[in-house]
Amino acid sequence: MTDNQKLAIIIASEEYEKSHVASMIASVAAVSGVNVSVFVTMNAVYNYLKENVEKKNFTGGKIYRQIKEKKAAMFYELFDQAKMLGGLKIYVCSMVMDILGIEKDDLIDIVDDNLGLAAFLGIMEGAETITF
Amino acid sequence: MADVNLKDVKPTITVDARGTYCPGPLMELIKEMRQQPVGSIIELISGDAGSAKDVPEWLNKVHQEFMGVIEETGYWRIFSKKIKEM
Repeated sequence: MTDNQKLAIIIASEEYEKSHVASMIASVAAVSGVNVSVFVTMNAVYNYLKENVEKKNFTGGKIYRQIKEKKAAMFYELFDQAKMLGGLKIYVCSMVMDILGIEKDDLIDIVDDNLGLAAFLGIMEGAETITF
Repeated sequence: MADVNLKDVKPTITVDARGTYCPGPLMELIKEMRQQPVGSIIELISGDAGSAKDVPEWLNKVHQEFMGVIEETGYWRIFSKKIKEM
């Protein structure tokens, strides 16, 4: 078993597809016994605002349009499912929240907490890291 | 020959995950495997070509048994056995 294996995923881009592939990788890793921590920062934060998720107001390209058209599971649904089945935490950058003047309540429920960089660097220690 | 034997296998439960996209079928299998008792045979039906490779890889990682796969026209029947608690 791959217990104690750690994966850190940083999502900085607002591109829908990047959050989507991150949620796919996070899901499969989480159900394979890997501890996954996701850090959402910069423009990516817009995709985790309740307001934008409710209106499906995302910035995306061709695959995003196909995902919508084919009614495939959206990134937040994949994250949600992964959280039920495995070890996955999602954090949003506190600096971006400050700049946008948003509270944790403005973010979708799959977000566990807001976090500063020092704390996330602590989580990243010894982890494989992927950046989107 | 393995396929011939596989066709005689009576699954405890069949999960039809056609219509879901990767990693949907794998996730459906995991949900079912969690609920079923040890010894259960789960047949996963997937329309996603990746599943036939993904599922054995995952089973190997979590030490559950991969029994085999039957390729039908446009879909795959993937057989797994729960051999320990998870």
